[in-house]
This record gives sequence, structure tokens and C-alpha cells, in this order.
Amino acid sequence: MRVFMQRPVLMLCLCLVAGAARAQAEAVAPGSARELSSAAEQIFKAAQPRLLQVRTLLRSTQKQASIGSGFIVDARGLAITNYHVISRYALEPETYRLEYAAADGASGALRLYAIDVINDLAVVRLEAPQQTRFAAFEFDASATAGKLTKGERLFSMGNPLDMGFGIVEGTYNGLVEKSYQAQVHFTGALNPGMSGGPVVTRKNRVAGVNVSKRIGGDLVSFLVPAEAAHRLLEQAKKREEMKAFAVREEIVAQVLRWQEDFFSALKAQGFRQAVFGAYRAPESKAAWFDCWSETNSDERPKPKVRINGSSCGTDTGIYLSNDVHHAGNANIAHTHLKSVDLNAVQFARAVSDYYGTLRFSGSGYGSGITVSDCREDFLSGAADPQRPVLRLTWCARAYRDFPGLYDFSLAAVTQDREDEALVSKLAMAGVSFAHAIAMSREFLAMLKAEHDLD
Amino acid sequence: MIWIELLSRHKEVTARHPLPTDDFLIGRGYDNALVIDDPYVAPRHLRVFRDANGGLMAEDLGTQNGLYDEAGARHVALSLDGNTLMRIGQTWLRAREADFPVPAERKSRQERRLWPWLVFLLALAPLLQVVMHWSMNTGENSLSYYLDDVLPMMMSLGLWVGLWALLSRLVSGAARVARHTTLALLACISLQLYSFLQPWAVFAFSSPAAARYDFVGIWLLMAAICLGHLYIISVKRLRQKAAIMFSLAVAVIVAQWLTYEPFKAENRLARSVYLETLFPPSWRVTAPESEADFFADVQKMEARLEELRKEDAPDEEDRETEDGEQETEDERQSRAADYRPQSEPGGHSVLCPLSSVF
Repeated sequence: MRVFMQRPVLMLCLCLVAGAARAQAEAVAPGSARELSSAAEQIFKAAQPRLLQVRTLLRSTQKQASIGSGFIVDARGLAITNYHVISRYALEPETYRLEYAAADGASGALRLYAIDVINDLAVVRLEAPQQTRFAAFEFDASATAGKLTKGERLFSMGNPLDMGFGIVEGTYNGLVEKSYQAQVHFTGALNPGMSGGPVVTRKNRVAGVNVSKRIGGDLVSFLVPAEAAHRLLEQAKKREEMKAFAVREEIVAQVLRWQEDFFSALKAQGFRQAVFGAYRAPESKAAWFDCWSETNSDERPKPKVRINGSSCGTDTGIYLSNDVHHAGNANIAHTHLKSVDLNAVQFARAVSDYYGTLRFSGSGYGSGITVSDCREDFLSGAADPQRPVLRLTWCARAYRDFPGLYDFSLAAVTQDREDEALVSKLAMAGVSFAHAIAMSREFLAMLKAEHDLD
Repeated sequence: MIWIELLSRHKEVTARHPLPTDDFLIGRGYDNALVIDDPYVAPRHLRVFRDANGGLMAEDLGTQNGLYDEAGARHVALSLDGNTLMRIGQTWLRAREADFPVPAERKSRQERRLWPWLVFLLALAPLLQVVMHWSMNTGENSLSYYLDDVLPMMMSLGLWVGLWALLSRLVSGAARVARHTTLALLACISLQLYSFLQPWAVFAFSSPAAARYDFVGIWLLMAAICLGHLYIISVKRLRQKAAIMFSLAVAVIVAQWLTYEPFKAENRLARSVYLETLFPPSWRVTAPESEADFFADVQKMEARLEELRKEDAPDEEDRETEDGEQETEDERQSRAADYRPQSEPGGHSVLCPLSSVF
């Protein structure tokens, strides 16, 4: 059975950040020694001391468990990287420790100052004597104001695949359309290990942070906008080092706060009633839902049941931990089945095939998520004469590390006709239980059947 | 006249000898009225005679191996009532008078004509199979699709009947192919009906139990079928056979129940959903529930999930062996791409009887 909506929409978080250069002020003097032949060469030479490789080491073996990149943004040693680069350390500080390695071979411990899971950012501080001054990147003013122009040349730096620091040229292509989250579309080759590395303009000012790439695309990569990084840095400057126990609470709080905004935005955008045969079903009007449709009408031999479907999803993909990197995703799918040449039993069987496949938004293995619990039954149309009887399955599972956050998934199939049915599915990831139930009921309330005159 | 009956170890009569006198000897020697070829029997072993009251008596003639009753007690003399079993050497004997009462004649089995039934069932079983698969077929109908079903079914049926007939021939001396075939066909049809009605019951009554414990019905049905075959082989000790088959079925059910773990399967989501097969809406029996009740129940799930969350994570995941973020990242993505919880349609096969269980 073909299940549509399995588009290759996966994004790869690149655990990649280059090591921030340790800022032994070799006071970069561009152009001083000899003429540099290209912009990239010049930029890299100047940036190198500010780049870091960020390594998570397993305490028991002292070997690296993951690597990424980062960059120094403050003379006193604050550096920016991706949250997903340091997440293991942040969540399990007894098991892992965090270390940086600079281009000049210097290395040392990193302390965690601030995280922003929504934008996948973290601020760390290099352990160094009080008076040490570090060479630091500055933010590009037009980037933080969101005023870069499409086509502008950008340079991404980091330590790809643990092969040493490098620089990649690419193009700024604006913010990703159809995305609720602000994400910069960067055309350039990002590789694992570069996560958290800086992306700079010709003037060597930060325009974004490497974060992920699209699997199945060519050179389609994503950056965290400079503005988010700048904002987090300003917050971190005023803060003490984060306490280990506070990390999880902070993450849950950030996700829940994000969610309030998301749901109110969803409500503000509203839903339209899409028509599927005799049924009406909700589809979000929000532009950040990426919608696809599918039909089997072109199949040969002629199918005995006509299937038309639409599937909409957001691909927010908030990375929370090694096991949870899809929080914030939402999917709505409707499949309309109409019998062409099947009797009632056969048709019910055909519907079962669609109804049976229930999935959560995003992946779900690993010990970080509980098994799912489900409730299923037939629901009466009750007070609403337009609401058909539904067969409803509702499943949820909890995030072990983040109390109060759940994935839920529901599938409803109309049970009022013998030759026509609508299978509607809603799945959301990383939501509170109250939101899950409220959203489900709103969704169900918008499922309607047209009544034949009888 | 007195009849001496020789019995097998299973206490079935193997030979009968009428003896015209009221006092005679039994032994291995040729000077006895009844000669027994058993090396453990003495040349003159046993005397059978009528005592003063007219009852039959058996008397050991002072042999080494003696005379035993059914319970294994040795006797010098034993009075016989027609049902008393005696053992001399390794031979079982029974003495009966000519007027020993026998039950009235049983109605001949031959009068119940089996063949029309057999032919009818032989046509019905494959037909049912075809009809059931037709009702599930949502694609093209083709001859090979149905033959694929019916041929293995008939083959396993043949094998099943063959094994029982062989057993029958070995134990009771008659193969009774027609009887075994009839029963096997009936069994096949009942399994087919079960495989259709069980998912329907799940649907009609919204019953998770019917889905989760469908194997209970299957095994009880299998036990009944096997008991039927044993009955055909021999009607004796039916109660013991029934007890054995039933306890076997219970043992299997308990074993399966113990290993049944809804979350063990890889596909965790699909396993916890019980309704796999829908039927036409009009086939429902119980009334649908209200949305408020449904979500009141869903609300309780929050506490259950919180319990689950606090349990220790399964130790299958070994966090310490991951060697590099690049690799785990890649792996994660490919997992994400492949993840597709999909229920396997059709719990158990409708093929019967062998293939559905063995």
C-alpha cells in the first residue's frame, strides 16, 4: 500500500562546528604580510583564531562522542555553537564533558551559559584565566536586521567530518518559505562536523550559524539567522553558568513557550474546509504548512477504489536530544476513498489499509521516548448532525527527558457510508497534553459530512 | 461352556477359546485344555473350575511366576466374575460364562451415509475459502490469486488427513479415511469462519480483548478437532483423551499468554492499536461512545504515560558505543526515513487446518 506524504523532507542536523579559535590575540592584520589572492583565503586567515571545534567526550573513555564547531563572539571567551552539538553534555553532564580545540592546537574545557532549543543555539564559555582576551567575531548589522539580499556571497566555516578547519563559499538565499521558524536558506556544502560554525559576509562579520542541510537536495543548507544568535549572546552576557539540573526545565519551558505562540499563530491563520466527496475536513490556511496531494486515478489497471488525498505538514524539527529531534512538527492528512467497483466488505477492507497506518510526526525510536499508549473506539456524531460517526484512534507517547512534552497522533475514519469514507489524521510532536487534547477536539469538530436528503 | 479370552497389554481381546468342560488346565504344555505360548508361563500353570457355589475359580498350580490380578496382587486362588482380569506370565486372561450378559446391538454406523456429506464438505471448504478471499480482495480478481489459496489449503488438508489415517491404522487397524476427511473439512470450515468472525467481533463490539486473545479460540478449536480425530480412531477412554487435549490447549494458551507482550514488537505503535480490520458500518453492534467520554479516558492516559516516562529506559540502547556524530546522525536520518508503523493486515491465515497453527 502506497502511503503518500513520505516526501524526502528530512533535514540533517550537522553536528559540526569548527573550533573557535583561541583568541591569543595575534591581532589579525588583514593584508599586512602579503597580498591575499582571494576573499575566502583572506577571510579564513582572519577568522581562524576565532574558530573552535566543539567536542563532546565520554567521561569514561575520554574519547569523543560527537563533534561540532563553534566561534568566539566575545573578548571574554563566550562562543556560539548549536544546541545539538552540546546537547549530550547539557543533558547528561555526568556522562559527558565538553571540550574545545582551536586551530592552533590549544584546547580546554567549555562551560554552558545559555541555550535556545528553538533556534538550536547554545552559548558556551572557554575556560581561561581571568585576564585573557580573545579575538572575537562581530555580527553583521544588516544580517541581524534581516536585510541581506538574495545572492549575497557568504562564507561558512567549521570542521567538517573532523578533517580540520575549512571554509566553504555559498550564497544567501533568503529565509525558507513555508517555514514557521525563521531559517536561512544557504546554498553551499555543509557537512557534519560544521554545525555551530559561523557563516560570515565578505567583511568577516557573522550572518548566520551552520545548522543543517536537506537530505535529498544538492547544496541546500540551512543557517540559524544571525539575529537569534545575537539575541542569545546578549542574554548570556548577563547570566551565570547554567546549572545542570536547570537545563531540562529550561528546555521544556522554551518549547512550551514556543508552542503557545505556534498555536495562537495557527488559530490566527484559521482553517479552511477542504472538500473530499461528501465530506469536509480542516486544512490550515497557514503558509508554513507544506501541502501535497495524491491520487490513484492514473493507476492501471483501473483501481477499484478511488483514492484522493492531501497531506500538509510543518517541518519545524526542533532538536531536543539525541532521540528527539522533531519537536514542533505538525501533520494533517486526509485521504478520501470512494468505491468504484467494490462491495461494502471489500471497501471496508480497503479503508482499513489506510486507517491502519498511524504515525507520529517525525521519527521515534530510542530510549528517549516512551512506548505509545492508545485509545480507540467509535465516536457518535452526538449533538452535531453534520458530524458522522467516527472510528477514532488516539495515541500519545511521552519524552522521557522532558516531562510534560508528548507526541500525539490521531486517525479518524468516517463510519456513515458503505461506499465512501474519509480517513483524517493529525499528528503533532512535542506538545503539552492539554494542547494535544484541545487540538484534537478542534480538529474533530471540523470533520463534517454532507447529508443526503433522507 | 466357559470362554477364555486372551487380552493384549491394552486389555483388548485378541483371542477367544470356548472350553466345553467346567474344570480344565491352562499352561504352556500340550496336555492343557488351552495352550499358551508365553515363555513365562509354566507348563501347567492355572486350573479353572467351578466351586461349590457354582462360581468360577482360578487356582495357581504352584508356579514360580504365579497368578496376579489387575491391581498386581498375587493370588493362590481367585474367584472370577466375568470381568476379573488375571495375569499369568506376561499373558492377560479373562474367563466368561456362556450366559455373560452383553449390551444390545448398536445401530450400524454404515447406515449413516458419509459420502454425500463428504462430497458436500469437499466442495464447501474451498468455496468458502474463495468467497472469503474475494471479500477481502480490493484489487483485481484473477484465477491464480484464488488458486494460490485453495491449492495449499487442499494440500495441507491431505497431509493432515493422511497423518491421522496412518495413526488410526496403526492403533486401531483401520485407516477410516472418509471419517477423518469429513472431520478435517469441518475443522477447516470452522477455522475459516473463526478467522472471519473474530475480526468482525473486534469491530462490532469494539473489543480489545477479542483482538488480543484471539489465539485462545484457535487453540481450543484445535484441541476439539484433535479430540474428534482421536474419537474416530477409538471411542475408548474418551474422558482421558479429552482431559489431555484440553490441558495441552491450556498449556499452549498459557505459554502464549506469558510471551505475549504488546510492546515487544518493533512496531510499537501498530501493536498497541487493536482494530486492524474494518467492516461495513452497518455491521456494528454496540453503540458508539460520546466524544466527551472518549477524551475523558484519553485524559487518564497522561498519568499512565507519566508512569511510563519515569520507568527506566530500556537498556537495549547502549549510549556508550556510539563513535561519532556523523555516523549516528546519518543513521538517525535513515531511520527517520524508514519509520513507517504499519499494521500487518490479517492476523492469522485462513488456510486450514495445518497451516494456521503449525
